[in-house]
Amino acid sequence: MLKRILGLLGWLGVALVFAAVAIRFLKPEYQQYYNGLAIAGLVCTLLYILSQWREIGQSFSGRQARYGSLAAASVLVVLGILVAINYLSNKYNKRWDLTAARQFSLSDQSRKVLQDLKEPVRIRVFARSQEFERFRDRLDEYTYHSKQVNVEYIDPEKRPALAQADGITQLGTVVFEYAGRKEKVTSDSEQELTNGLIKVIQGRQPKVYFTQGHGEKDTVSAERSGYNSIGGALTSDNFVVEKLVLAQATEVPADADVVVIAGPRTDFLAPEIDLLKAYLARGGKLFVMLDPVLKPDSPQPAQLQALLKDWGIDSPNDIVLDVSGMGRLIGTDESVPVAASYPAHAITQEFSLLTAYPLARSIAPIEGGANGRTAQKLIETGPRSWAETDLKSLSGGQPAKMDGSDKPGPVSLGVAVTGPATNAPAPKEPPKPGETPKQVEARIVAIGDSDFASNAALGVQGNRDLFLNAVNWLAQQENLISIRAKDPEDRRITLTADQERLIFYLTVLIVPGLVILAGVQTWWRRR
Amino acid sequence: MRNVLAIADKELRSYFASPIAYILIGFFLLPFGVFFYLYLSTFVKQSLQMAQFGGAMNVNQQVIRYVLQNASVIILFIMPMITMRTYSEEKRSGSIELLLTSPLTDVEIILGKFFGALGLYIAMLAVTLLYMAILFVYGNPEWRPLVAAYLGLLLMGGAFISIGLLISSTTSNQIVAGVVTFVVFLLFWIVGWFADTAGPTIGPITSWLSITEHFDDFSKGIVDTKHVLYYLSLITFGLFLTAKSVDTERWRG
Repeated sequence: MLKRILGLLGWLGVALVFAAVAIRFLKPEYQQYYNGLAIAGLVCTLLYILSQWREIGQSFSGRQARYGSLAAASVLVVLGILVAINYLSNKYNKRWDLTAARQFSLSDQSRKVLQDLKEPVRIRVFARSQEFERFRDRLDEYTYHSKQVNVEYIDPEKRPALAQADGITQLGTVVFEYAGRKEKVTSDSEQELTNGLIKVIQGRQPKVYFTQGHGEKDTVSAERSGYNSIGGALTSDNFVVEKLVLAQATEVPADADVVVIAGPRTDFLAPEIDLLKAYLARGGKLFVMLDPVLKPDSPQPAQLQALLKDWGIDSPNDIVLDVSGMGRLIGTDESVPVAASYPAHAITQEFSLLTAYPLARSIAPIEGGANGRTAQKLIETGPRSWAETDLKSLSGGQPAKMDGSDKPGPVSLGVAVTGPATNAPAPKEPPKPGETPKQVEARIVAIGDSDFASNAALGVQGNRDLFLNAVNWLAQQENLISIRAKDPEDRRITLTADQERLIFYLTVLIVPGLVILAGVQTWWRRR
Repeated sequence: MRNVLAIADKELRSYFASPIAYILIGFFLLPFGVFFYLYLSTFVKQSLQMAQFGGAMNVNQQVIRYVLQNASVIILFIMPMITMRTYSEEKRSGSIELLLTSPLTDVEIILGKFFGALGLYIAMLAVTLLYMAILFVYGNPEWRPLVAAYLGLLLMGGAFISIGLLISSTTSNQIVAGVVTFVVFLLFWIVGWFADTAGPTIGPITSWLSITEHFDDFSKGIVDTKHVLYYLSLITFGLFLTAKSVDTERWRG
């Protein structure tokens, strides 16, 4: 009876393994099921084999025992030797890249960085499972060149806790961890990866300055309108957050990676604007958040608006209203425009969360750009929104409605712009021959609202991530080294429709058919 | 050595004297051709689209690599049918007694059967070279990564054959040998899936065990000593166990 059950177990194991394979192909998303099935199948098969071993064991008794134990011992010795060989060959392997472009080989610069590694580096790749191969093609070479490198591949959809622990907001992020420090890279190119490695080894923390003196949001205030949550988020993202009183400064500090102007209530003075202009000319990064002026008679921040205009950014005097009802989902009214889809830009790449902007003004690119700088839209409201220019009637308490002078939705709420630095500091070392000299770039992100990142509004899903993405994009340090991308050689195939059809018949029908025909012929002859 | 070749020759002849070899190769080529055509036609379409953007399109990395990776899975399905009869057939018909009492050594017999099956497998791969030739007619692929990939296929096939030989030597029933071989191959393949979800200690071990995983680098055009040694170890171990299994037959009577 027991024997029959054990016999069934063997077949059950086989069936389970087959089922696991079938599910793997038909429904790849059911990973937990097919993994479970495969393990169950493995266990059943092992049990079956064990049950058969009892019989084998019986034959080992008596006269044959000596042979049996000798054989078993020799098997163990051979197995041990082979495992040892493989263990060593995994540690001291040699690779030859046979592609003509040597596309899987690392450049000398990367190899040098890897060979100088003194402490272990842990690399975690957060991407969809199907994307792992793209990163593996590159990172396998990093582990080959240094035993200190350890790579882990994590699918955030399957292991969300790990992704959360590293604060991953974007798929395709690579986290470098070295001596307790972290550095994130969102690319699989050798240049970006090696630069991320260098940065995490050097351990420089980028500095973010928040301007003070015009009623801007305060990074230590815990009030509803305060910024201490977002300040904490920046700190945990490896930034140093400091305050900057421009009126007392002679220049923007040289170590500033990003300067944030978070919702000033009064306009900047001309000397302050000059400091910012000089900062941008040396390749500075500026994050401007301008709130709408609600009292119709109060002055607009004209100086800041003029600075933005210089960079191709239009910031008209209006307030954006949104009657789509989407705001009701998060408990707000039409004065809080909501964005759910974003024009393509590095900041909002793979970003699909809802963001909400309490009391916002529209910020849009100027058609055709200004001074050769063209801004790109980042955030757009839905179609059932508009930019209300008649602030007087609004403050008079009349219900808002769209009329002729208003700009219909979708309304742009935020833009980003880059431009070459006109007065970049000279590089410390002259570029090596064959390398292009590094382009220093100034960047500006402008958003028509500062409240979206305040303590009160950070509850909205995407607000925090959008703010951090914007600062991260701005703070992207200039690459420390430049590596020419090794693209595979261009070896394409062009076929006419006829040729393609010919290949189809040849490969799918004719060749296999001929071979099978030959088989039938042999069979016929043998009869 | 001469004895080994003689047995290998006899084995190979017996494959091709019956329809088995043709049927197996034919059924291998059918899905291989479908994969080949699908990857190629997608690649041709992408080439047309990329013509406007100027990105690099590489037939080695975008067609050959994936076709051969898929081929490694088809081989996994076909191989049990090649190896299942090697020993089981002789055991069933009783001709194993003749072999065991002949002046040939066990090692010679095992190697002979191994190279015989390998010969059939090489014939199978040789036909796929026709498909690669199509790529050379209409395009300009690199030949060196292709050599690396076929070296990998050869080593991987050898590993499959040595395991199949071992399983075939333990039973006189061809069907049982085939099914068990198939399941063992599947298990060797499946363990690789756990690599990404298992922890940092188990993960590398499972991906190291997976037979097909070691082929991935070959398919890219990379030859790595660790993969070569893995396959050679597996072949050695499989053949060694087969020898032990045949030997056991002798002293168990």
